[in-house]
Amino acid sequence: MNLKKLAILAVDDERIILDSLRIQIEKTFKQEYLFELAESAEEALEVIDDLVGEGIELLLVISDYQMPGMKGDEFAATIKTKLPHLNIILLTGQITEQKSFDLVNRNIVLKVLQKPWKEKDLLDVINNLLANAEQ
Amino acid sequence: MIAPTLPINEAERLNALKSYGILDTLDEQEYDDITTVASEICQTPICVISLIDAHRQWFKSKVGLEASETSREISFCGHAILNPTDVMIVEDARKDERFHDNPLVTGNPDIVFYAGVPLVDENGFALGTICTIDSRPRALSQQQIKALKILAKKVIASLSIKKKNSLLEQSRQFLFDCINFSTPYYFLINSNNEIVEFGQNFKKANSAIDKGRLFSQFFYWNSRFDAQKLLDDSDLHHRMLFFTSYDEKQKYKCSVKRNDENTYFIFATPIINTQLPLANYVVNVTDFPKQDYIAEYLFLQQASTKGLEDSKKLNDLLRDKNKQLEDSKNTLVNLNAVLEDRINERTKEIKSLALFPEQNPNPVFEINYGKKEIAYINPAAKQKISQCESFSYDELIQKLHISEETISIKDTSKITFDLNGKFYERNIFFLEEKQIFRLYLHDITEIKQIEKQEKEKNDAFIRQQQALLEMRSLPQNMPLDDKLKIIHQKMAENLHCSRTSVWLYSDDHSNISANYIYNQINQTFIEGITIWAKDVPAYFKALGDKKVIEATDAEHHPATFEFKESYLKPLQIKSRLDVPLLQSEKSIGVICNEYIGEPKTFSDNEISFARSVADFIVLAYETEQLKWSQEELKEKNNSLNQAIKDLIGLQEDVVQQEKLATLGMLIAGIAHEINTPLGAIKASNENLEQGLMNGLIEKLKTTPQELITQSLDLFSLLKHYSKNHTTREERQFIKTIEEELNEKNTNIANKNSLARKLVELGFSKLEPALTPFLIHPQYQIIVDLAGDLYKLKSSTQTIGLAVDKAGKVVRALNTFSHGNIENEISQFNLFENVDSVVTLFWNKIKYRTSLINSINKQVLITGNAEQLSQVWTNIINNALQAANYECTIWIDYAEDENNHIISFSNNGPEIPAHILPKIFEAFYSTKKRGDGTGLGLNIVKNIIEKHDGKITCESTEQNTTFTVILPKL
Repeated sequence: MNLKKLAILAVDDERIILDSLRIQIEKTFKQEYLFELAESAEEALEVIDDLVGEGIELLLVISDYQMPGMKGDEFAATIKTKLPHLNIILLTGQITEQKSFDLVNRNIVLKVLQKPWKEKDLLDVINNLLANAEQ
Repeated sequence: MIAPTLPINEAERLNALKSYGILDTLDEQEYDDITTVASEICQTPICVISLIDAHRQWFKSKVGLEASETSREISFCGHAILNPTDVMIVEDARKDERFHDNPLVTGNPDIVFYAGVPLVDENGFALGTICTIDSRPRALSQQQIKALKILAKKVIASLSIKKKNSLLEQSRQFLFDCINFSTPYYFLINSNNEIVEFGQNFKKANSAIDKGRLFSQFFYWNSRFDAQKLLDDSDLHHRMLFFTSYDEKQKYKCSVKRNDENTYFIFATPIINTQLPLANYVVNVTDFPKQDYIAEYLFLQQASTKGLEDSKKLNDLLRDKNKQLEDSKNTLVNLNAVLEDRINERTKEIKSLALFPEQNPNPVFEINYGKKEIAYINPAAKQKISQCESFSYDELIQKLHISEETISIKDTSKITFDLNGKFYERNIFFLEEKQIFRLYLHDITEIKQIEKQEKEKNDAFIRQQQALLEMRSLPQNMPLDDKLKIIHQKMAENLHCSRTSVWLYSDDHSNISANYIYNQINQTFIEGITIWAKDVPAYFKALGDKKVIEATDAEHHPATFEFKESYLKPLQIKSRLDVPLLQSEKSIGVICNEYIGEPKTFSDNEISFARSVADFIVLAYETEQLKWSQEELKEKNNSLNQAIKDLIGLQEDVVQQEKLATLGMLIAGIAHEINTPLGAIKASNENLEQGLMNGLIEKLKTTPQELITQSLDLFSLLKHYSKNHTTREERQFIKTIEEELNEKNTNIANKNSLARKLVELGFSKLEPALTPFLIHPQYQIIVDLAGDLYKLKSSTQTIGLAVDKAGKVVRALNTFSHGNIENEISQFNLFENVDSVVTLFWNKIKYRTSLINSINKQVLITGNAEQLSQVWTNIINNALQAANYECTIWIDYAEDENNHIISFSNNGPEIPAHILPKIFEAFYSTKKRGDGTGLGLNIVKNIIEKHDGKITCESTEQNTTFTVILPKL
């Protein structure tokens, strides 16, 4: 059961965002992935540790930028030190184009999506990743 | 009231005053002129020359005052003389402890203002004052005080001249008396009638005479003449025959006939101012019967010798006095010369009188009035009075002003008259036995001339003072140029100069220029010129000394010689008087007075006048400058008013900008606050639209009715479970449920997946109510369907929540920036107003800051909601920035009868005590440059004050509290 070992992690301090994302992704990919939620970067790091401990592969992290404590960019940079190949998407309502360009350019995040985001944009990213993973 | 004390030298001062012989004399024009001028210069209704006697002040001259004297006790001048060198000025006597209850203040003449200049004589005695008085409070200008001082000197000068004249007169009288009546028999006797000295001739006539013997033993003598006593005196016949007269001036004249039948003429003169302490009288006894030409000659000779001695004594006395005078008073410099001249004159006169008519340098006529013939004309007369030889008797006595009466009463009084253009004083001797009188004419033309010059000088002084007065009376608003033109003319008239001009320095003092030059000859103004320092360095150097340049010989004067060829010669200018224009010790220019004709020496009075004119011109310029600076000030004031108006506009702009700056700071956070719910809304909406509905409808189509019913039952269960769990809790719940499922050892294939779904549906444990659904073989379909229904509901809820959230932010923004309704006063809910601000800050405070808003939700306050929002924003923002977003903020409300009290406390860092007083000042900021406008708290204060409220701040190590007090309306 290869599929069962893939997980997607969403991080946002706003519960409504997490709930919306879960519905959006589960609706499309059914039970193909574990969908984990965390309300802060610190919690997300714990979840990642757990997942890695359980031998579950993390396909993608979708993170808010403006969060309590560690911010999205810092969080992404922290994960990258542990899991250099992990794909991270920043989902934010408050980041300049210059900043997002800079983050993508430095290969810290895969993509920056502006809130409110289009479902299609998010799903396209996930589908691309899946396609690459299968190869 | 305080009565004046006595000067320490009072006794000497009174003697000095008495020596002038001025007390209780009649009015004199000379003094009245001075008080009139003083009164006009000082613009006071009253002016007096007051002399301080032992117990009274006596007014020599007065303007505007009836009384001729007052007691010394109530006098102002009695105070003034105590400081002889100072001008005493009392601006308001009603407020002066010395005078406030003085009868002269409380009653007529209602003195309020007093200015007195002490009249100090050459020995330093303050005799009195010249003072000006007004019945209203006022002050004198420096110029007025100066003029008053000059007039005081003038009074003293007049008094001194009078005194000298009187001394002179006395001595002259004395000498002439000696001359008229001295004989070989003269005595000095003291008050006891004892003979102190006597003529040696009498010793020959009567060897019994000696010093110390009574004069009355030889002649009839009594210091008190009593006619009755005289007749009763039986002893009388032994000594005298009769006496003729006793005159008022305490000079005793009497004719006596001694036992030896000879007739004598006794003349006794009281001695004053002499060095003979014992002797009271000089007594001359004339032996008339033996009188002849020889006797007359001897008499003249002897008298003149004696007279000369006395004259010399007097002369020395006067010299001493004059010397003192010279030392002390410049104004009296000329007097010395005049006196000297006069004394010389008298000496000459006396000497000449002593000469026998033939040698006498003065004209002498001898006339026989019995025969009406001219008996003798001396050579001097023939020489000096042309054709006097051809005069008839009648002609001559007419020309010599001798009337019938003169002859009949033997009038020997002196008369002055003019003859052939010269002034003569006439002295007559009658030789009655021969019916002859002899006339000695003394040429006093020169003396008359000096007197005339003195008078002219005096008149000129008065004219100059009047000219100055007229200048000062020029209307204030008269243009400077017109004023100057009048001054030019007055200056030329009074200094008798042909050309006058006013020159002003350029800013760098490299040149002086005159706008025009006044030509007195044709009374026109001609165009002025500029004179450069480089062309006439010596002249500029002299100007630099700031002294009067008095160039009688202008061509050779060290200051003005440079003008010789180019200016002085062509214009025939001989003398010039240049007076610097000094403005507080600084020279601003010079006035030039140029004299054409014979070289002219400018008198002290003229120089003093020119100085006064210079002072006046400076004053005129100052007035003009003042006028200019006043206008400038007015302009500046106007532009200042405009600037203030602009500033008020600007301030409104700044307040607006400050608001926008705060808004800008918040805007990034606000974007996040809005975009987050928008993201949720969009996602949920897409979920609903594209996925859930379609998927659910498809599922419902294919699902058996029994399972749908089961799903709906499960779904209805979900209503009881709230969803307020954290993700961390949820993960725990998943583990719990998974474990429980394992314990039940059911046939459920993927327990983890089921557990996740159940937690997603809101369960935190395996509820008993779930059992019927979980034991159903199709439990997966039931749970999925219920899950889909739940997701429908959840998405709708999410949208609702998100809309609320976004709406709240938008409302907060709206409250913060209330459109255009700037000054609207309304009643609003305080909690909501504060909460809307808190909302805007939410993304900044939700992590590390606690904000506890304890305001009673019912409180309504009245005010400008938008502006008060700005207040809360500023206070909260300051607290957050100061604490670096890590603190707790308590917002509390209290009230008293009249006020709402809203406090914002935080446990952030203390505001240092030295900063605390400044925090409400405009542009005071502790933040980095660019971080704050420095206006926040100033605007806060302004807004609160606009609401008639108060804001205070207290700060301790534990707590910083801003308290806003707003009145209840």
